[in-house]
Amino acid sequence: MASTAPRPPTISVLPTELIKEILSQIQCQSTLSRASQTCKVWHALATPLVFHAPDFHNKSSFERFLVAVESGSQVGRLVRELNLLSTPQHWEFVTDTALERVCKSCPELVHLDLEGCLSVRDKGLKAISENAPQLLSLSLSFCDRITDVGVKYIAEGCPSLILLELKCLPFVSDDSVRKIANSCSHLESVNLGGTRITENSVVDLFAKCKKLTFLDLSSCYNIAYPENFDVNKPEGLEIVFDSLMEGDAPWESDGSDGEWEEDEGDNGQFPAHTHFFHHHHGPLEDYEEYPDGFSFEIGFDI
Amino acid sequence: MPVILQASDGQQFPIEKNVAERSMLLKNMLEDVGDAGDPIPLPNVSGSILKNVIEYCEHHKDDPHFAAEEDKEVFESSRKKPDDIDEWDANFMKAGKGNEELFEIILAANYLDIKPLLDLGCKTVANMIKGKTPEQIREMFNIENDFTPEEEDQIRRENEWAADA
Repeated sequence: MASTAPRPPTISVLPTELIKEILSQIQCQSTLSRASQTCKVWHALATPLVFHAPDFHNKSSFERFLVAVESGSQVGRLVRELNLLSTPQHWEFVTDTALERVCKSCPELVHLDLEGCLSVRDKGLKAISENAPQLLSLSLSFCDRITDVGVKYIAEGCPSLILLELKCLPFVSDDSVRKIANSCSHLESVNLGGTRITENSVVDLFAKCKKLTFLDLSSCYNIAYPENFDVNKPEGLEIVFDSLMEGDAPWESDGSDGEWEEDEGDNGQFPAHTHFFHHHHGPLEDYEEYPDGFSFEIGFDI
Repeated sequence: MPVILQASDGQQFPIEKNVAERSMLLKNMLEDVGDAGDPIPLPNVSGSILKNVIEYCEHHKDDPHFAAEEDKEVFESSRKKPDDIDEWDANFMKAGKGNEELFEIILAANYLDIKPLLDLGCKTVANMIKGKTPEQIREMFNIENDFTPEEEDQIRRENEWAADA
């Protein structure tokens, strides 16, 4: 009699909600991924967790991921966040083409962090603009080949943005940032540190982005007295405006010195000692110029 | 005055009120009907499991209660560390407990609404899964592989990117 035979204890005695609870305690992506391959119920419960914020340990993992989300099984719809900063060589393999593939196959993506993805150019931003209107946060910090052309695409295509980071983009100016101010009225946090913007962008942001609570203007050398904005800013807005001094990290600054203006006579140019930049005046073709370990050097500074 | 709990097999356990109140189900029940002194029947929990649950509640009787809103952040962050299990709790879960007992404790904690014990049980199972292959997980928890070979192959391919380096 099969019904009286002793059965080994099965986890299936637990209701689905408790299996889900167990799986949600697993933080390790590869463990979750293996758990999703045990049976149909576990697959249904674990797959959204595996694809929610995928993490790639190398280039090949990223490429296999692209194949998976393009496979027609709709797993791309489960992706919500993508952050490539911790993946080795992200500055090489995250190309405009790769970005287009991501945006096309992950239509529910809301957080995209491309910090330091140096191979991304304006064309990649066009792909974001055309395929990811739902984006809530976007970081392009240190993607230093991006120009106003690309940022204008973002202004056109991503009106829902709440967070936008354009830190250290030497080719980004008022031309595109004023369009951002006009189109992205939901913005709450904006990093424009190290761009070419002037007071005009700031005035527009104040006027159009009423929800703004954080604005980074550090190293914006075309703004003569950014500290003036700190006095006249809308209520509830925090502004970071100090310059990146040599040997003086932004997070250590008390915002009280205005020495940059004295140092910098060459209005409109970036000081030579901001070590992220090279004074290229032609097209930047060769990212090999960046020293080894570049990605670790830049880090986060908010 | 002690509270008397009665397990599904009729066993009775007199316990202190503050021990019983680790269970939100019992806490609400005692608040609603008052303490009549009658045994409270728990038809979903066997005597041996209830004994374990009471042992846990005894040990944690002086822990601060999770205030649903205020401690939410602390609570959320504690959820994020499945490895981070208190030594007593880890020993409590280990002490001679097989999978069956483990699952029943999880079920009882869920039924009695003892959130920290439910979390402990779920974390314990989560830790057991770590490093195992799908086949090993099936074996360990007696899960039937209900995929067709084609499905299994497709799912394996869609997960290749997430495998360990």
